[in-house]
Amino acid sequence: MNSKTTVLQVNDLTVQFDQEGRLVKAVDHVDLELVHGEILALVGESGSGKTTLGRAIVGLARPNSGSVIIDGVKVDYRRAGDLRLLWRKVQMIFQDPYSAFDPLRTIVESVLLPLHKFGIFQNDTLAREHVERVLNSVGLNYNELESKYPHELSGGQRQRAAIARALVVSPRVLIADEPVSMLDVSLRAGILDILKDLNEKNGVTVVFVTHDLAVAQYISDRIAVMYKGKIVELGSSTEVVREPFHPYTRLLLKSVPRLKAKQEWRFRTDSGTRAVDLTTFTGCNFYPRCPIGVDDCTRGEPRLQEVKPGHWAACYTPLLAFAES
Amino acid sequence: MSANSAPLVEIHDLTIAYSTPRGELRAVEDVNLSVFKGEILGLVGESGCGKSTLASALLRMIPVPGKIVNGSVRFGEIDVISLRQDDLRHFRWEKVSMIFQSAMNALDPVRTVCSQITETIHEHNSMGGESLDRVKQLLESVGLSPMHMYSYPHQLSGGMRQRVAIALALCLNPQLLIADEPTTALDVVVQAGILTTLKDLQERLGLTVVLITHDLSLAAAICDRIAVMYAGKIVELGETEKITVRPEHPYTEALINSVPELGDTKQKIQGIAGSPPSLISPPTGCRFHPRCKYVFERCMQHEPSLVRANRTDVACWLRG
Repeated sequence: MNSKTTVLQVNDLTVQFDQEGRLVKAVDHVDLELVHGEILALVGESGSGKTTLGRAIVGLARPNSGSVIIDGVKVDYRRAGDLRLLWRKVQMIFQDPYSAFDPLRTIVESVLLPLHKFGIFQNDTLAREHVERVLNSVGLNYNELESKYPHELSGGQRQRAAIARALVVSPRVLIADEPVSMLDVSLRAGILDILKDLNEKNGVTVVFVTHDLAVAQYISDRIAVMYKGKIVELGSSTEVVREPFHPYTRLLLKSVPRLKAKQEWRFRTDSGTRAVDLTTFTGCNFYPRCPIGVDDCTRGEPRLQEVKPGHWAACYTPLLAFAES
Repeated sequence: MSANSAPLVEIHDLTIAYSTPRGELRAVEDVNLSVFKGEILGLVGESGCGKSTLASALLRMIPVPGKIVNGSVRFGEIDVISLRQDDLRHFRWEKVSMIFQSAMNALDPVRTVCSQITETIHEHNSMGGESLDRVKQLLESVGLSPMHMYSYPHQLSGGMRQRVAIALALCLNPQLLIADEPTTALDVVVQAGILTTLKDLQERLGLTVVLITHDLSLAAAICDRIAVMYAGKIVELGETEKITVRPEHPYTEALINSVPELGDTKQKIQGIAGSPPSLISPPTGCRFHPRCKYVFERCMQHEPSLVRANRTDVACWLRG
């Protein structure tokens, strides 16, 4: 297969929530394209819409407008048949491996279930062999788990099992929503490496949702930074970290504690640097907090533009932002 | 800085146990630790290592059914373990106060910021006359505008609530603030603001802080010294730069190698095989030996104690 095939395409996707009578755009006209075998990290703070975007792709949040195209086929989220096809191709793993499993089923039963649902193996022996292989690929042993229930596993093992269950139907795309943030640090590396490994061996495309920029940089080929429902910066992971063009990305990067670098903990981080009437304001979402901010920023929302080949930013002054560093 | 000043807190041979249906669980065992005036000390370790239990002993607030089995906790001249109930009430908050991961749970949802802070002041000191000014001053010292005085907790953002919790913790001028994972529930930008505030309070007011966290880089950001805990014991203790640049204990080293560092594109992170031991029946010898890549015979039989090595205090047979 051509390694540059587009697997997942998100076009102008918007997801709105009704929050006490006020409409909030959790995902605001987002465009995204993932090629076969890449890992894209969706990075942002809570409320940025990164999780909602991931959930919308698998149909767990209903898009209000826009479309999602998997392998060239547009998904109609209102049709049960389309959803069934979608879940064959796109699987999700969640932040909390404790609540992701049915407590009354053994782990092996849970991992076998998608195979039965999709009628993938008619033959039980073949299905069992397949599950053995998949469990093996995430570092779990079928025989040890055969009669184990979720509560008998450690957090790290449960997250491995969740990955196995998602992969058992050989999906094209895996959406991983903060898969390591509830695990102890000593166990995170194992899970990240499994995902990297599966991506390299099976070519599964991964959307990795995280608030942790260091993890994003470690695991992904590209990073998309989200702010208030929009992608504000998109580029190769190395470049986004080394040469960020959006002032918001710069603020995020500056805030991450680093073990081996001297850092100055003396910066203003409070929001509301500029007072703006948000009910009528139509400029850049980040303008109220932006350390740069020129007149243009109040006139309309900046669109994502390619500042350097493959490196996009939604900012009127991307070069100023970079120079300021 | 810390090495020259007097210890504010001295913990000696402290063992804290919880009785469970399956036996006695020693969450903290034979811990010796001093906290010096004006320093920020980080207590770092993974979940279940005993860091929160150890900190709760400083306020004698060990959750039931936990009990101090052995050892002493001294705060200056005060013997914390034998304090009478009356004196304990004053000791808490006037000498040592605490903030938690969830600031929302620490605040009363149906009362304004101002009324919560003034109540605490009046409870402890009926003479608190000019308390409104005091509230304003407290809010300013944690980087909050006094206009939030009459806000209810739900009207504030997560970061602002944590700042209110810090202001509340400081209202009786304690000498020591214990911060238990104060930024875990917060976004990274807000976290940076809280860390800046803690650092600022240390520098301006000479506040002593014990910061409990599972995140070594976070501790490295503002702590003067770091104590690394594993399975109820302190395994390494030293100045931050020494711990983070070239740790002496294999567990500290493994912790550092297990997290990706931002900006480092060549790094290969590595988890720690296995999982932390049960504290009901911990392994013999060094508690880390089943997961340690340098393990040798002695480690399995004899338990190393925390001793001064080249750069830090370390409990490991590799360092003698």
